[in-house]
This record gives sequence, C-alpha cells and structure tokens, in this order.
Amino acid sequence: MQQLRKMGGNDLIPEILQYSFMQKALIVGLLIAIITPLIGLTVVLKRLSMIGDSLSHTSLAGVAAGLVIGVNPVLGAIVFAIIAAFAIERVRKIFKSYSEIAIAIIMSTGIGLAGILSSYVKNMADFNSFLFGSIVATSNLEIILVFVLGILVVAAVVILYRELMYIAFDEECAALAGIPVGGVNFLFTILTAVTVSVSARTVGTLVVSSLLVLPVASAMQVSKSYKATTFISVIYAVIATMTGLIVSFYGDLRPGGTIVLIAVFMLILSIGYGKVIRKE
Amino acid sequence: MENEIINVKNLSFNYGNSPVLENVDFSVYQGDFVGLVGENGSGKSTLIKLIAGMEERFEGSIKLFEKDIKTIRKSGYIGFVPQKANAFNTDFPATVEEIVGLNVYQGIAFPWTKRLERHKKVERALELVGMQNYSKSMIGRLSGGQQQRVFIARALAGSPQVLLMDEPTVGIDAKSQEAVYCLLARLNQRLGITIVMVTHDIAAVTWHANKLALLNNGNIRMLDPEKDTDREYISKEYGYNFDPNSVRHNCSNCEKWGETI
Repeated sequence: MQQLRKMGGNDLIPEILQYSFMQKALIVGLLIAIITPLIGLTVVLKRLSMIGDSLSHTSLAGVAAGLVIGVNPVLGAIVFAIIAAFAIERVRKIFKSYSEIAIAIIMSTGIGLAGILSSYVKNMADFNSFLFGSIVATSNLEIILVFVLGILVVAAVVILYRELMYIAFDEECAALAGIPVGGVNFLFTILTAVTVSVSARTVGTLVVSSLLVLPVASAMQVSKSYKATTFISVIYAVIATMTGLIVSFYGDLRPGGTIVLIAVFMLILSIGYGKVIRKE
Repeated sequence: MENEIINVKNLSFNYGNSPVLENVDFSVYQGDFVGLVGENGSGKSTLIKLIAGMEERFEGSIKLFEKDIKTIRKSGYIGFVPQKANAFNTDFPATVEEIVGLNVYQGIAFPWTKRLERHKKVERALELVGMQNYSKSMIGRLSGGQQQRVFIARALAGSPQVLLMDEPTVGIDAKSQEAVYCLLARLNQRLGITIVMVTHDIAAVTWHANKLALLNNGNIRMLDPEKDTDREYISKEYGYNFDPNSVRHNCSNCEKWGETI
C-alpha cells in the first residue's frame, strides 16, 4: 500500500481519497459492510455463526477449482459456496440436536478440497488474494458484482423482514402462520453463499465471517428491539469497515485484519455499555 | 347440532418402527375446551402437532373445518402455543410487540404494509392477555408466566378459531399457572374460542375444561368431567379425587388478567 501511496496528490482532498484504488476500496467496503450484517443477523439468530467460516473455506476450494480448470475463480467460489450451504442444511437435518456438526463437517471437507486443489494451481498469488482478500485491488467488475448483490440482499431483507425474523425465532410456528419456510430458507441459503463468496474475494475468507457475526453480536448487546438490532449492526459494520480502511491506509496495515480488530474492539465496548444500560 | 371443528379418524403415527398413535378417533366441537392428558410418551404432543399440521407423515384422516389438514391454509384457523421451555431463545433481540406482530398478517408483504391496522391488532391481542404495558419490553427479560401470555397473544393476533396448546403451563409458577388457566377459560367462555390443550396437570384442567381426552397406549378416550362415572374413571386411572364441594371454573371469579375480555 505504501508504494501505491507514493503516486500523486491534491492538497484540497484528503490523501486517502486521492487514489482511485482507495476510492474503490471505500465503495466496496461500504457495500459489503451493509450486506454482511443483514445476512449475519439471521445467521446468528439461527445459531449458525460459524457458517461464514465454513462457506468461505469451501469457496476457496471453488477458487482453486476455477483456477485449475480455467473458469472465473469468483464463479467457482459462488458455485462451491452454494453447494456447501445446501450440504450444511442437509446435514443439519441428520444431526438435529447438534446442528453445529454440519458446519464442522462441511468446513473440513472444504478445507480438504481447497488444500488438494490448490496444489494444482499454477499462480499461487491469485489463490492467496482470495485467502486474504484484495480490497485495495478491487476491479470495476467486482464493484458491480457487489453492488448488484447489495441490491438483492437489501431487497430480500426488506421484503422478507417478518419471514426471516419469524423463521429465526420459531420455525414451526412460522410455517403454521403460512410462511413458506422451505422457500424462504432456500433463498436465504443462496444469498448467504453468494454474499460470503463475493465478499471473500474482496475482504478475504478470513475476514468475511467476522463481518457476518461481530457487528450483529455488538448490536445485540445494546439494542432494544429486532428493528434496532438490524440498523445498529449495519451502522457498526460500516464504522468498523470505514475506520479499518482509513487506519490501515495511514498506518500501512493489512485492511482485513484491521477491520476485524476494530470490530472486536467495538464488541468489547458494546458489552460494557450493554451491562450499564441493563443495570439502569 | 354441534359444529364439528376438528375431526380425526383412524389416525395412526409411528416414530420409526415404534407406533405412537393407533387408529385414534377424536372430535372437537365449536366452543369446546379440551384437556388432552396422558402419561409421558403417550403421544399427546404428537397428536396436537398432527392436528396443527406440523407433521404430515401419518395414516388416517385429520379434518379441520371439514377440510383436509394437508390442504387447508392453517393461518387464520389455528393459533398454536408451544411449550414455553423449548419455544425460543431468550437472548432473541425482539420486543413483545414485535413477537406478537409476527402473526398479524398472512403472506409476504413489505414491513410498512397496513402498519396502523397491524398495530391495533397487536394492541388488542396484548390487552386480551393483560400485557399491554409490556409492549416495548424485550421478550427475554420477562418472567416465564409473562412470556407464556405473550405467546398466547401471538397466537390470538392471527384471529384464530381454535387454539392448540402444547403444555403451556410447563416451567411457570403455580400462581401464574392458575392465571393462564383463568385467561384460557375467559377466552373460551367469552370469546367462544375453541381450545385443545395438552397438559399433565389433570387437576387444574378438569376444573377449567369441559372435556378431557385421555390418551393411553395409542388410543384416546373422551371424558366429561361433570359425569360421575367419568370422574370415577379419572380417580381410578390417575389417583385424583375430586372434591364434590368444589365448583367448576367461573369467569366471574377471575381477577387480574383478561379484564378486557
């Protein structure tokens, strides 16, 4: 990043906004910060917090497969993540009382596959960019992809607001209330898989699951309704991502890790604040 | 002639190779308050879930308002109140009004659709269970009895004609249990809502329900708690002796909750 920063400047505009790579990083970061907690809220409330890890690791296998057979790696990641998401749903039904086993099984399978397939990848730099993300090297195509995904996720969360909340709260009664639980879960599974695989391309597989869970966990500490939790988790994610990008730019740090640590710091503050307001 | 709401005929259900219900016949009529009792594992919860349409693998027929349970749209007809203990995650970040509002409208719609109308229905449902002052409270912060009243309000918010309840008084203290029974009796007697309630508490349900359905070895036996022969049977089977001087539940004696009904 330091080398990129040596390119040109204008004193009237903050340094961070003078570089097109950082402008793109801020735009895509903002979009991902809006999308991930919207998906993450339902994921967390369904007690599937580790699903992001599982899907992002499996999407790595898709990246490797794409690079090996010469298909766009993002497409490979999306396909593998969707297959993994449905596999998790299937295995969850086999181990009803231990649904987290499904996540562990699919994650192990994904890591195993990624490990084997990556040994056939000729250009490891491409593969590693998925592992750690490349938010400061985001292409225009990726911005469009994230933008379209953002519209789809926001639309789904708004239109299916009650449905997603009811299913997360009580799936049996949701079905009784006339909600097409299978259909909503199917759509949500696809959205989760696509969100994780597309976000992993920009922020990295190691960061995407943190963005799904940490802002929601923080919001749950301080909010007093489901609606407030939804909005606060998005606000937290935007603050963590934007602050993380700015701090990493000026501090010459890795953006992904910085974003995660800021989100963890916000969680600690939220837990403290939550204890205070509960006492009151 | 009584209006039959639920009709179960030759109903059989197995868990794997183990039969749970065998050729059960069971009818519920408009205005009934049925206490469904039986030993652990007798199939009470299975039967109530089958009637609610939550389980579709069964033999025989279940009809609700003369329509097959597998084809009828349940919302608007059935309000289901699950066992409080395993019904929800107490850390779920939602207010009482948000939980009750889940059942207000059917079908997929934008959150702002008919907002005022939905708000009024939520308010009314909370008034019915005496929880109108807790609408902004987080569901997880309420006591067990209060949470159960919220779940009853959620079921009522869908304007059901029949309430199906799976041990709604489990895990709540005796005083709150009595208040729940009192509320149910009012809903039944004053609003005419038909109630089928799974319970272990044969003493309490006998004084509130007008019918008892005893489930034993996969078969059902309907009893009228007001008949001497049936009371003798209950005494013999369950060791519960009725006090002949006690009076059946009368809503006019109820206090505290449900004043608005």
